[in-house]
Amino acid sequence: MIKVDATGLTCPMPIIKTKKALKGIESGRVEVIIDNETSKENLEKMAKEMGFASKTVREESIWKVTIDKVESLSKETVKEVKSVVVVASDRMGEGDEELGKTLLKGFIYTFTEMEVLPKTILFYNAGAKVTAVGSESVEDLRELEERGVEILTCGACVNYYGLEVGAGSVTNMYSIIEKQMDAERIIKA
Amino acid sequence: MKTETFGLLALESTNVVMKLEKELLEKNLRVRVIPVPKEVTANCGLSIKFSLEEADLVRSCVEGNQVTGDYYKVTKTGLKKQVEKL
Repeated sequence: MIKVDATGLTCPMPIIKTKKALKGIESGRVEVIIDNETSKENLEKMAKEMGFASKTVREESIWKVTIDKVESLSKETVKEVKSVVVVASDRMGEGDEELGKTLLKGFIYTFTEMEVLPKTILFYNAGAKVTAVGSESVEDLRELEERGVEILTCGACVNYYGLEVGAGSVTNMYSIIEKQMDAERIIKA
Repeated sequence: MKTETFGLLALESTNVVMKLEKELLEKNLRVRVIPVPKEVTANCGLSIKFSLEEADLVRSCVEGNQVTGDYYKVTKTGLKKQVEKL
């Protein structure tokens, strides 16, 4: 059994530590000690979502949550789905332009830290600027490409904005539609 | 496995992060804004990634703006990160 002492930690640290411990084992039991009720509830919820049984025991000011990881179920939770990310603009979300650009850079960067990656990232309209030479995201995109992510930028858009592609390759409307039709999940920046 | 070591400056305000990024880039320092790694704090803000060799220059620029932040040293091996407070 693995013990995780998360006393003195506030959300989401107990969850992160527990997830790490669960990830480290094929199957078995993880016992987490926490000292606040919110974490107790969140841990129980997380176990349920992951399909693992959990049991909580209260001992004075602490809670002990034991989670049993079952191998067969855990495989299902990490099952890869065909995800396609769509970047349709040079900023993330609507609102302040500068903030949106900063957020989009962070969005692309954070993918490089993910274990499970999307199959394809599509860039069109001003999104094409993100893959262009001179963009601060080019290096991250190259890294993702090395790890097997398909980076595709709308050719008409590259042409319209007078850009030079710095990462990935150019594509056309047919494959922009095909990739999305084929996706099991579409993520919008 | 690829190992990378860098400095990280976590600040409270998004506006300050964006303002400092601009100033630091104007000084030709190798910085970039990244979301605060989960290993660092629970807050969901932005942080400034910098080269440890330029830590002093980053610090003086930050102090010149009369803001305070938390500095960390991050060692990234593959996807795993080890964070130490500086």
